[in-house]
Amino acid sequence: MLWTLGSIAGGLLLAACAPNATQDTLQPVGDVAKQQKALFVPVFWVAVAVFVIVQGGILYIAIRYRHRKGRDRMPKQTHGNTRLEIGWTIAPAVVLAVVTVPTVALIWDLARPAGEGALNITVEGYQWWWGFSYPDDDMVTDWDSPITIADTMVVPTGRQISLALESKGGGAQDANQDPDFQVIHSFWVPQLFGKQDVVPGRTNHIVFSVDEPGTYTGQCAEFCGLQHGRMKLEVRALEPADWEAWVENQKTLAPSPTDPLAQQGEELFLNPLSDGRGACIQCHAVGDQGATAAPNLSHFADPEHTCFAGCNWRTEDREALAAWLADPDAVKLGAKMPDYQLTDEEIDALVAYLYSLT
Amino acid sequence: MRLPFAGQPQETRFFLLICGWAGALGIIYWFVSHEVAGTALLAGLALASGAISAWLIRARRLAAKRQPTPSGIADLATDRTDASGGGTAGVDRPFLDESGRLPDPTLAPFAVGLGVALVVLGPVFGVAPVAVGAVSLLWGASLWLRAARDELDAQEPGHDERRR
Amino acid sequence: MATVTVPETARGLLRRPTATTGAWSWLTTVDHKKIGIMYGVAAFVFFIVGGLEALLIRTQLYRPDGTLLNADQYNQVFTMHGITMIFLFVMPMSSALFNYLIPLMIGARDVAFPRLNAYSFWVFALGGLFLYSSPFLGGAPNGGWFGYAPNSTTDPSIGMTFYALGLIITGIASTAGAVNLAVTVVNMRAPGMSLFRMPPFVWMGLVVQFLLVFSLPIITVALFQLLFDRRWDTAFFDPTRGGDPILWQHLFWLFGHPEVYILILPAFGIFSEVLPVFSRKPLFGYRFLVIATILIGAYSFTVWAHHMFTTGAVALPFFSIATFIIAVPTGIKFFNWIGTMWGGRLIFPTPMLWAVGFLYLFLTGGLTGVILGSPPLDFHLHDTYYVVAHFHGVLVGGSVFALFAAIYFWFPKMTGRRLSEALGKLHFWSWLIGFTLTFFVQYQLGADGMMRRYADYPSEAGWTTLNMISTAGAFLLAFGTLPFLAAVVLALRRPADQPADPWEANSLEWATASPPPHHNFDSIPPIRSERPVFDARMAGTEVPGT
Repeated sequence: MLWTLGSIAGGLLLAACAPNATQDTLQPVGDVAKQQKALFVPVFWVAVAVFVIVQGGILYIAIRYRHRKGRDRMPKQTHGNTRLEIGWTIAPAVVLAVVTVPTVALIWDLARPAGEGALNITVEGYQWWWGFSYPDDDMVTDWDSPITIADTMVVPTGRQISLALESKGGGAQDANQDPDFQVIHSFWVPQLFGKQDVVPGRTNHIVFSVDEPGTYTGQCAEFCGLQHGRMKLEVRALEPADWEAWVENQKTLAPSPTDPLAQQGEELFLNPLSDGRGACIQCHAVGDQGATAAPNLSHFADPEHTCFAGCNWRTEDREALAAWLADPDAVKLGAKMPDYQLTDEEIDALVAYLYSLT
Repeated sequence: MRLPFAGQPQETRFFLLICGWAGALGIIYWFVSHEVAGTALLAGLALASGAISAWLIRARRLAAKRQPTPSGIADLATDRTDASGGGTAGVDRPFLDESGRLPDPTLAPFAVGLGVALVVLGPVFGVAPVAVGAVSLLWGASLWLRAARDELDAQEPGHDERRR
Repeated sequence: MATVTVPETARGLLRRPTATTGAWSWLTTVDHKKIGIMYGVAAFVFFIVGGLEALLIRTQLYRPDGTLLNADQYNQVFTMHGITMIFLFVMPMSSALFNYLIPLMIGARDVAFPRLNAYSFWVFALGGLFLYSSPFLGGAPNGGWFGYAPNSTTDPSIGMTFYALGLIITGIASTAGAVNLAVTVVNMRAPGMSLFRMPPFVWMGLVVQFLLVFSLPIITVALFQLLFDRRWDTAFFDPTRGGDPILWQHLFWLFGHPEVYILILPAFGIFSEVLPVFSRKPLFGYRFLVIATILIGAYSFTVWAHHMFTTGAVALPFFSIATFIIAVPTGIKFFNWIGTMWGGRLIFPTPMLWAVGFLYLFLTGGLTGVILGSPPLDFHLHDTYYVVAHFHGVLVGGSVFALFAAIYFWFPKMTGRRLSEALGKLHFWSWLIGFTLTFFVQYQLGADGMMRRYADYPSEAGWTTLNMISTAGAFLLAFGTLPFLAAVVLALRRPADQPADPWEANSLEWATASPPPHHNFDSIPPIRSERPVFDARMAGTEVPGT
């Protein structure tokens, strides 16, 4: 019996003793996540109370009524008690009804569409990375397309943001020539809002706002194939002034590289590679050139673009970038970017070019 | 007031109920959704169960004409109220059906099972599993059905303790 | 017992099998007891395999950036773990117990269709073998046990084709078995055994068979659609050509939710037998418990979309309320079990230990299920380790604990030998502590944002310590199974010396020798309540056949 008590207590204690985690849902920052935690806390304590009462009762009964030597009487053969039955039908129903009311209220609250003046972002789920495009009229670049980035979603603080979630695919392919399929993903940034699925053929929505500037990590939350575990993202929430500056920078082309190595890289990037190996701009886009099947690299080296390739590596990690270019499949099994058999010189040039795209 | 079909045995009433339910639901479904596939399936269910009900009603009528020794399938369409086996006699008078014999050990279930499992693989894995499976299935099924028929023959009137 | 002779004509290729021992007798048996044992042994073998898969998962996740399995292997391992534990362990082990015990408990000589019964077993065994041939024939299923489209329809490996076909085959087995057992219970009860005098285990079994009959066709249809989309380029789940991925989820969970009740009701039945025996009292509120079970069975078809709250495609308030409603009858049963113990004279042999452990673990699993039933909370907890902890709480703490309790309880009946109490206690405590360590920390991991179905995790996430504890717990579970295996081996070495009724129990299976003769009963005591053997013992009547 002591063991049971010990393991229960130990289990509960262990459960409470976790260090601060970057995706801790119990440390909400965004308004939606705060509302959701505000519901969780009372429901959780109700559950704890029920557990303590019922489990306490079980332990008491197990000890109080255990067979003792010499007491062999047949216990009273009670078959039931209708009043008790009714009682313990109604009591849990009442507790659950109490939980239902704030649950339904919050459901309706979360389902309210965004108001006027909300910033619209289209979240695109690919195998296995996130793309973000800004379709509002005041977010159009000099070359007449919406601002588009990958792996990091940049948002302003203090403003309502309306996300439209879409599943994309079909343009890229991996080393076995299997395309990136359009599958179900799920978009989740624990400290900001609860997840919603990204379903081919539907557009789901999340409306939220965040007041604290900072970096918030998120990840794909619905099994989407081989590298479901490597499909992360970061949200960069910027103060209004920083946000304006970022938007302006995104609207213009990155400066032309001045460093000769970077210029070489630009050559390699924008033109078909030798020996029929294909071209980077077949899938990627920089400014007004390229395609949309792969992450948009227009401002790859912008400080707010903190990570790349499904947000698995930091942008400033030069070695990681070189390794990725050398053989994507080796560092991310099944990645939908073929191995272009790049030489070390080509890699150096391309890295220099990418780092010039501020 | 006598309900229609009240005199029919339980299994007939069961199929009539399914027929009526599927028919009514099919009509509602069509007018609510105008969706062809679902309506067709519900209509199919209504037709199939209606056909079974009609056949059972007819079989019972024929059996009644052929008194006093109903046998075989027609016999199944007659509700028995004594504890002589087959059908249910209501939950308040359960009984133990001991009038049939238990089957002997046999390889038939394994053979049929092997056959079914292999045949299911066929459409994807090709002709080979279907061929092997079909052989096992047909042989096992013939063993099974022959044994069942022998047992049914052995229960014909004459041998049957029911007619005491 | 009526006997009818069939003429011994030499038709067919083989002589009529007559052996009662040896391998051939197992291949040709139609005896429900032998079939039950075959189901049990096969299920246990799959349990070991599924457990090894779990150890691979936990070892991979012991440290950040684990390297034991790459992403492709990991996806196959967790998929096979889920499929094995649900379809090849819990369901067949429940079938083992239903097959062995239901005819005995209702005083019948066998099930209604003995040959069909054997057929069900062989089809299940072949389905399981087929699923496990997949790693050798191109790749195991890798799309999760839930196989969400379009990932499952587009994945280039052959694994999900094995998934569809394998589950179609095992579904055939379960459907035939369900019809068989339902007909048996309805038609073949001994005189005097009205429906409300059946042992509670039989009632739970009856509801399970109906759940199977109504839910299996739904998943079978969905699996055919999956197969056709994969193999013959149809578009059931392809939105670009008029299909809808959400359709797969609806069909899967319309089956999947009744399925979890199919997994847990046998456990409820087992504990409804064990608790009264070791409390020396009747089951408290038997009628209410039965009615609550029927309600749970019916309601289980109304809550399926609580697995789909985050799809944006379902009516959240309806399914949330329905989920809360279904907690009420489960609570009624829970309180009835506690009421059975209250005021009793409790003894704690191994089966009773499992029962008390179940009450504790199932309570936590059930309460966290209510939490998950609230959509705003589910938006965070869905697809995290919180869900993993919840369902292992109810499936391991519920079904697996029950299946172990059942083996310790009915082993004397089936073999005539008792399993060692000392080894049984070691087994139980290892599992209770091991389970707590493995899964309770996963509630916290889920709240910390750790996702399911991730092959590895980074060290910056802060999940490392809890994962290490969880892995240690998993190994404790694995080692804790060894005393059980030892107990079985040791027991089978001893001579069969157990009487008909070693536990002073309640239902008809204890009114015949251990193990029962081929025809089950020489005669049956009068049936005036759900405890005929108890009544006979109290009346001083000699329990027949012992």
